[in-house]
Amino acid sequence: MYVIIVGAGRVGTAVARRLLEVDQEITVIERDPGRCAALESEIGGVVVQGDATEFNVLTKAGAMRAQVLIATGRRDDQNLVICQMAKHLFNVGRVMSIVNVSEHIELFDRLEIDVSIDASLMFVDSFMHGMEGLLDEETGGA
Amino acid sequence: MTSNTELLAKRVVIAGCGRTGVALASTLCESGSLVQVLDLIPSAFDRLPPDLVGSGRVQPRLADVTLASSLRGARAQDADIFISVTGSDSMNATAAQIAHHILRVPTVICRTDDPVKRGMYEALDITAVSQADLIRDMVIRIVRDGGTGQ
Repeated sequence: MYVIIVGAGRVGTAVARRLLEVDQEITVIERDPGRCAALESEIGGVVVQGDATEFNVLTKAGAMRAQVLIATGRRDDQNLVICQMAKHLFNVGRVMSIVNVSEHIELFDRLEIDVSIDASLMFVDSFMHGMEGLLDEETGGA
Repeated sequence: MTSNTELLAKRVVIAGCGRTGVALASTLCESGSLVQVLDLIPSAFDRLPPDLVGSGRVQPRLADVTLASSLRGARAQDADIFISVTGSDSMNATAAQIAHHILRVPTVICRTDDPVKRGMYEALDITAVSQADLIRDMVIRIVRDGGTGQ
């Protein structure tokens, strides 16, 4: 499977590492040259430097033959545009995105982004899970 | 000046108080529309003509145009026309799609600098205007007409 990951921050890098561990083909698109160099020295020549909201950059990354695109940027508006371009201009089969502002989930769902992950809610669920058995039991409207 | 009578008394929300937003606000206001201009940065409103702001016909309002809640706070859902003209293509696209899909504004117009994305948004039901296309068309017309600009 061929996967494009947008963003070489903590999340993007971790996803890239995991996909390489399970022998998938990947390309990471990252705007910042320093981050590109760091990632390249770690995992080799699978990094494209540039702005993934640009058609040419997605083309260079091989979006035309990608089955999956994962957007991990901090700006939801850019994640959205990248996913929409991947889906509608490059026919990528599955587009997924981090959503940094919970309120944006509704828009991502409405616009048929296949998987949108509410970043803050993910932490909440994990912390709640970590407190299982410690939480005061509900008294039922005392 | 072309006839602007068809714009009369429309309620217009403009996202982005840059040069384009200000020019649109002034012209739409002159043609009788009630115009609200949204921006995240208070100093952006300094560009608006003071007389129009003073008379209340152009209303500046702080808002994050990429958030449905912020747009609802500005009552964008009651607008007849929503125009997103911030300096960021991605913000414009996000604001326009919120206005269209979530707030159900009847007419939504989105600025994009990229002709490729313009085609995509048109296909997705958003009217998009590309600066690159407009400048190209104007220049071609001027060149074709012998460089007079008329």
